[in-house]
Amino acid sequence: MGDPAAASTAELTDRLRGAGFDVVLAVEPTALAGTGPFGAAVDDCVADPERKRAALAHLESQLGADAPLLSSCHAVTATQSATQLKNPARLVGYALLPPWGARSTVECCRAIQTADAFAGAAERLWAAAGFEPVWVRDSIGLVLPRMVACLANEAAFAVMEHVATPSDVDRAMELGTRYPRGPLKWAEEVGLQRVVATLDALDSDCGDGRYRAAPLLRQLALVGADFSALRGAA
Amino acid sequence: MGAGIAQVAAASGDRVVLYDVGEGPLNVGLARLRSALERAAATGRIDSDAAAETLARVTGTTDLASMADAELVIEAAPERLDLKQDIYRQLEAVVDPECVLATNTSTLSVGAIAGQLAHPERACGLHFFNPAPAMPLVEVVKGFATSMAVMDFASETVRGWGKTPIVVADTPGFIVNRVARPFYGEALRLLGDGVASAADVDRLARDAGFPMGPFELMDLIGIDVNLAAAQSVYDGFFQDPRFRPHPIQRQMLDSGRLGRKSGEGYYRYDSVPA
Repeated sequence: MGDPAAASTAELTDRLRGAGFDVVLAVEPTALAGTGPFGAAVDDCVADPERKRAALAHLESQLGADAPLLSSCHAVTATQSATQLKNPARLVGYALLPPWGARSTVECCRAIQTADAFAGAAERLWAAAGFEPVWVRDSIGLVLPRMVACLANEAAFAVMEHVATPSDVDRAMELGTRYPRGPLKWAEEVGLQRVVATLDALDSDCGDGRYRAAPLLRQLALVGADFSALRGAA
Repeated sequence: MGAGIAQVAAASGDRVVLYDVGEGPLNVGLARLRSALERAAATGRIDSDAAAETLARVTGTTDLASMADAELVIEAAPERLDLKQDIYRQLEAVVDPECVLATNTSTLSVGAIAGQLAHPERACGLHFFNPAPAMPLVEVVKGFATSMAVMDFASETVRGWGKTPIVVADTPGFIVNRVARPFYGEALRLLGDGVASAADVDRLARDAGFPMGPFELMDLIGIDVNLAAAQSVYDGFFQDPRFRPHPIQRQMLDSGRLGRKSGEGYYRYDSVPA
């Protein structure tokens, strides 16, 4: 199983290009498209800090002087990512939790280093791609990635503890709360590795055990499996 | 909630005896059942004959001995362990040895409620969601002692009532009240840490497909009711930090901001519902 978010991020880049922005994308540092200089960059790399650093360095090297770098905050603050840049003022954080096809808003945040001109450029860029920016304060996972990671983590703990089966947990949440999808299925759409990355970053930031990833969730993410793999193992 | 559950069973053709502790509360329950059925008939959701037949299948009583012939008793008393244990003891003295005793508890353990019974294997949880006639889910809770035959009977019975039974172990919050905790808990942390306003969190949640944002939902549920649920799961897991309530909840409670019912919660409401 690859990174399910990568496909939707590629779609996002297409949408930005369709709106007239010359954009370069990184999901992985090795998968950069085209050669610069570009007018904007989207960094959707949610990986270990070394790979994220490499992605940011590659992207910045291909950007024009006035171009903003939109950087995913799924597992890191914008402020921390900005420290990796030669020009930290150009970094503007965002979070767009899959699936976002029907979504009209995008979460945006300024790093402490972000300059007004780049925040404005990011705002215009998102608007042109059909998203209304909702500005929140820089923090790990911003709003939706953090909330959904925690819902999925609790669901994974419940499965691990044999409270109910994965499909029953999802069905109970859909029927009992009318959430748009079960938290486990949602986590699979986001990518379990991404969910664990968000939890680990929150855990190291917060440190009181609140964001400790369920061991079962971590195991599945590690082997690239999803919850349906448990039918035999449970 | 008893009246709503009685409506569900009676609408599917089962005879129901609705018990309450006194004539006053019993009549309130019966009146609530009658008006719910009249409303359903008036809006065309059921025809008026069906409404009348449903109502005719329900008899009220203030005497637990009227439960003597029951196949299944669903207890929906207030969430106090001593009260529920007492009801169970009285019931066991009255009902047939084969009668299944179910509890609609959302915060207490089935094992604790049924632990005093001579036959705890006959007890299970049947956790309905409010309002019972509209909500499709029933959590069927298996206590340590609950027999598989009782679990199967309880699941098949609620399935026959048009509900979706989900089998769940007897653990704090079962599935829904436990797994939903971060929806409120993380929203409160985001607000408390100054990451986003309540209105922005709600707007983002709705845009992601949640029918309501966490703050407008807490206002609807009641800040006090929501905090009690959070506190009960937190205590049930021996203060695991995942479930820790937020100081904002207590501040809201202490200042009388209980949500819609008090006219103000995370939002202001022009009129307090009757």
